[in-house]
This record gives sequence, structure tokens and C-alpha cells, in this order.
Amino acid sequence: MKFNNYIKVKSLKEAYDILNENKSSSVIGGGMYFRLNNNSIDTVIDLSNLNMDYIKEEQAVIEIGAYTTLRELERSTLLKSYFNGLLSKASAEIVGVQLRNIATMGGTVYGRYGFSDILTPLLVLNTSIEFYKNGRYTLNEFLKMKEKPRDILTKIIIEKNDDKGVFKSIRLTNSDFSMLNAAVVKNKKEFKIAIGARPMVCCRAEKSENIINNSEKIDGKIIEKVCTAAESELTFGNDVKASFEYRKELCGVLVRRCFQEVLN
Amino acid sequence: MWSTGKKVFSGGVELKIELKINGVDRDIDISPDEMLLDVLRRYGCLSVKRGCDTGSCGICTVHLDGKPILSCSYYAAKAEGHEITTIEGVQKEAEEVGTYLVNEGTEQCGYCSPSLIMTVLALKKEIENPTEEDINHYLKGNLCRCSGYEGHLRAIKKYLGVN
Repeated sequence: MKFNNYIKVKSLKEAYDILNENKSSSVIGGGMYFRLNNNSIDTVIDLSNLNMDYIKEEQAVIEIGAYTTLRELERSTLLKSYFNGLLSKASAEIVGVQLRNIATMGGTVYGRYGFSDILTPLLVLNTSIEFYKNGRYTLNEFLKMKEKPRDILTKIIIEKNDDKGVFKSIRLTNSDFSMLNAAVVKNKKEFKIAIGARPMVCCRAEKSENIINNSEKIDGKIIEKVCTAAESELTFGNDVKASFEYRKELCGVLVRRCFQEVLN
Repeated sequence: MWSTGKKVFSGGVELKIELKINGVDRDIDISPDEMLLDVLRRYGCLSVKRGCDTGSCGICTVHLDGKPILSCSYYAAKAEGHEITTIEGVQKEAEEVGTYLVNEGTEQCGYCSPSLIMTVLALKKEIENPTEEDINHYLKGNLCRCSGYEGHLRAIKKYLGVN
């Protein structure tokens, strides 16, 4: 990415005004994948001075500031104590410590990257995101939007509840991106399933969820039905990492592994 | 020319930032889209190498406020106001780690060594009483094309006093 100006703003208002007055401007998170883009823009807006790197517990939710790094997510004792440590464990698998010290939650979420190992577990939790002017959306809504709001993503909000989650991925080498990833969450009422790195951005397997959530008895037979349903329900694609056929096959495997762990 | 938001004048001309490199405060001229790796090498920190240039190999590892980051993937303008440490700034500690690496016959081409040492020094500060699993996990982002990492692991375990 080439650009002419780099601005470390002093307020969200300043950032929002620049973003909307200058159509050739963009907010930067950690900049890890931003820099790999071949485009040229005029101005980059850096929010480092706005104290947006935090993970805090409120009465009903956990709030994660958009500038929180993936390493901070991984190391957070608060997040390790919720959701079976789902987010910490998912973050820990991403490339290396050096990268996780740079990549931010805001950059990851707003980027809607297909390869993301963070979006998939966030999607099975009750996650919303908040923009400076446009307010809140559920993560599911945001991922399905045709056009993202031209706004400042300020925080990620996760409802505190009895969700217990498991994240699984398969990658060619230890520090590579996932060929496919999966997250399953279980609480008193329901199961939720999300598949990511398809290579498209993650999505919920809602028909598969209905099978298990409407079933009276949860046994090996019903799990197999869910795995098969997830393979058929979702769309997969080809890229340098894996073929569509392989990903479809892997989907059933990862869903099965997630259920084996989440049910124990 | 700066506004309250530290705006740089447009046209791709240079930007001046304040950066502490190895304990020395510097006013540095950079292009707005210049990466930290290039700035550090320009200012004589030749231990910092360019490897994959995509954030995968760890060869460009430096410390930002004591934490290991990938200088190939970090904008110099973003680093403004922070403290950067390269191996040139921690020579005594680096020599100690280096001795363990040499004694285990780890070194082959040596290209990955500065970055590996920087990551080990960061690990020592961040994790008290690390296990072998902690070491393997922390060093996952440092690749070596020559070795099978066994010598590295032996050396680092001995350096950190891990059984």
C-alpha cells in the first residue's frame, strides 16, 4: 500500500471527519495486511492515541477495544475464564507472537478476512461490534453486509453467558493460515456452528445447528448427521491452500472434532 | 508541517518522526509509507534482515517497547514515540544467548540468529519459568531454513534453565 499522509488522530471525531471528507483515506489497525494491498491512497488514519487497546468486563458483556492486539487477546486472563478460553486458544494458533503483537481486533474484524482464525469463534459467541457514528451491529449482520459502513470501528462486544466453545483448524504448516477452521459453542439452550477460511469469510451452519438443536437425543448418529449437513449446507472454494472438494471433506471432520470435545 | 493530528504535508515528501532506537532519541526522516525495517537498516541496524517480507519468517524481529514485532510489517510512522531495540542495543545479553547457540552447534548460515536471539530475550522477560512447550510456542514465528531446530531448542532450554 502506498500513501502520502500518515495521521495519528487525537479524537474519534477527527478520524471520522477525515475518513468522510477524504474518500482516498483509510483507517489502519496493525497494518499487517494493509501493507500487502497493492493500492495507493492519499491518507492513512492511525488511532493509536485513542486508548482503544483494552479488554474489560462489564456487568453483562466483555468489551474489547478495536486496537487490542491478538497477543493481548491470547494472554487475557479474563478471556481465558470465559467460553472455555475459546478466543485465547484461537488467537494462540495465529502465525507467531511477533505478528500477534501487531495485528489488532479492529483490523481483523473490519477486514472481514476469509483466513481469519478470530472471526470464526467470535461468530459462534453473541458478538456485536460498535461503530462511532453507525452504532451497533451483530457480527453476523456485519459479515453479510454488501457494503461496510465508512465509519470507525471502536469495539467488539461479547455477551457473557454459559457458552462453552471449541475451535479447530487444519493448516499445512504450524505457522500458516488455516485451510479451514471451525468453532462450535454449546450452552444450556443450543449449539452454534461456524466454519471459516472456506476460503471465504466465516459463516454459521444454521441448518446443521437446527438438526442438533431440535433433536431429542444427542448421540453419535445425530453428530454424523450434523457433520454431513454442514458439508452440504456451506459453500467452499479453491485456492492455493486447498481445493473445494478437500475443504468440503474437512468441514465434516472439523465439526466432528469440535463436537467430540465440546460434549466432553 | 504538522496539524494537531500530526498531519504530514501531502505529495509524498518526507515526514519527521521521533523514535528511540537502542536507547538513543532520534529525529528521523521517513516517507509516510516506509516500513520500520528499512528505517532501522538506514540508521545502521544491519542485524535486522529482510526475509519473506510478508510477516511469516520472523527474520526482521525487533522489540517495540520490549515486545517482539515484525519490522517488515510495521510502518515506521506508526512506531513514532515508541522505543525500538535491535540486537545492536542488547549486545551483552545477545552474546550470552549466542554462546549457548554456538555450543550446541546450532549456527549454520547464521541469517536467522539475530531475530531468534531477539525473540528469546523477549520470551525471557515475558514468561517466568517457561516450559519446553512455552518455548516452542513462543518461537513458532522464527523460521530457520538450515536446521531442524533441535540445536536451537537445546541451546534455548539451557539458556533459560529449562530441564
